[in-house]
Amino acid sequence: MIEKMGIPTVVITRPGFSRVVSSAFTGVGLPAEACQVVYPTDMFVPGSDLTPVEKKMDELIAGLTVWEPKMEMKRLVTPPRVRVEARDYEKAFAAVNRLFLRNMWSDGLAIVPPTERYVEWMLAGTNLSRNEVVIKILPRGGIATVETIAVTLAMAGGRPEYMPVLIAALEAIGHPRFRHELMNSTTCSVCPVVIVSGPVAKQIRLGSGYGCLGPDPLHPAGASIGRAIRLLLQNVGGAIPGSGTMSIYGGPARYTNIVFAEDEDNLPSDWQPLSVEQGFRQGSNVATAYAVSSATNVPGGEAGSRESALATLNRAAGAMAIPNGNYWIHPYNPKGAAGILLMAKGTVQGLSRFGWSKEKVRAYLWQNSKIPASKLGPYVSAWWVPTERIIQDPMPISMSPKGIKMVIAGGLQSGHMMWLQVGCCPEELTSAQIKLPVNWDQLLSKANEDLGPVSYARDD
Amino acid sequence: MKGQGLVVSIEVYDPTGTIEVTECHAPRLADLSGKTVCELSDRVWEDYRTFPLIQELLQRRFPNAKIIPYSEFPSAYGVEGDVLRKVIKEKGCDAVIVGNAA
Repeated sequence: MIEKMGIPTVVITRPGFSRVVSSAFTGVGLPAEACQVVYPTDMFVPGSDLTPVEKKMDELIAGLTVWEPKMEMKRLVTPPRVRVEARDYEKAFAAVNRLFLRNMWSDGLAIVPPTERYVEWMLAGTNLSRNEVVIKILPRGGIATVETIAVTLAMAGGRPEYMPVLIAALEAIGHPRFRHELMNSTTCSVCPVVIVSGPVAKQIRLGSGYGCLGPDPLHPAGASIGRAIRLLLQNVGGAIPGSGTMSIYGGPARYTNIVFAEDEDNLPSDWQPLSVEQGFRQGSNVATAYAVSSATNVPGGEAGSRESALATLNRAAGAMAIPNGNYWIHPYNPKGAAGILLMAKGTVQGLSRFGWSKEKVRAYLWQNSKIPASKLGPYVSAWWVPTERIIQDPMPISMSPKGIKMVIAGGLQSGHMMWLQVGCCPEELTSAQIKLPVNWDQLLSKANEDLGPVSYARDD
Repeated sequence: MKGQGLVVSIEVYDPTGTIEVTECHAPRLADLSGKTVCELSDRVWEDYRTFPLIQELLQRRFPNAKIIPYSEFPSAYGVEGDVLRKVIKEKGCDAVIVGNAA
């Protein structure tokens, strides 16, 4: 940013941090080459020897006076394709996978080589031009066009009918209020969750019932779409552990993120689906995204009696009432959500039968998940919620009950709930319409041919 | 995919997308004599030791340069761009040293 002001800048860095700096530069439109002076890591620890500071003074001064970058032109930099040769297909397949790992383009699992034929197959899933820009992903600032997305979906083992949902998911993630640049670079273990509404979910075999958070061979769409999102965040956005993403632990959910569908068929008549809450017409094909730090299994979803229904709500509120600083990353944000509670058909229909409307449930959970101020001081970092900003005692986990999102999903038995707590650092749930291509019916016919007919009998 | 005898050749796309370079680096200064050099830190990793030493060594090399220490700027961690731009302009920085490797 300072370079963009016309002021020469030199960055103090250390081994292993240069890539972070380069990503920061490309993220704001500068060339990747940044003026850096690399000091030994040991120098930055307490009581260290500061001799390197004096030894590198000439280099530091040169960075502000005589340093010249190799490239000075404004331009688009598109990498060329890569060719791999081997004795047979199996060896070539393995060689591509080794290459992608060495180049940090993979996630450690086998990828499908993104050949031209395979990518063209993915592109059959959209009418958008292959050169259309869908999202610029920070911190690296790489641009994902429709073609880039098709390449990545191919790598993730996807199918063309997943493309419309993946594109919409990325549009939602690219929304300014999703703040993907914070999610992609944070120290938090956070991943995107994408909730799909509308008939498209069933059509592409995206789970909303048993095992909807994966893995599920009968509903494989979520795995490929979620994995493609991760690979794009990494390869285009630069989210390599320790240099682009500083997530201390990463997380098992980050391989395929969390991609599933709302079980709209089983909503009680007075419960609105998430897509309607997000401003769309009921039945619309919509992808809604948020960033979550955890998926907590909450045992107990019984709602066969008034007593058990209330007990279920109390269990959910108890699981939510954790003094976790992520709740207050954007304090006082009226549109923020503390998280998303998943409840299955049996739980929700039971609650509804005993007079618990969606709003009534929300209000109850909000009221009963408040946290005493006395617990916030020791647990919450001052620079997230300074003591003087704790405006209520007990403190709610969101500004209003609207910040408790609820989605119906999960297996028929309904014996558990799932609390997806907010992570770093979205401002609100963001959504995008899913646009289907004109050849949609042909794509679905081919999918039926390849995978067998869509069957949700198991969820009944 | 070609097959020529025992050789299989696979051409694949690079998955890293396109980078758009819209800005060039700022031109460098002829030298630092008489210039205002500013220090910016994210307040971590012993900056209270490294930056004062940098300031001392720079001042010794360029006695008529004005070195503004990092303590006169907001922390570079999480600061809004507009806030930083404003204070850099106000201080009249001709060059900036950014730290602290984290």
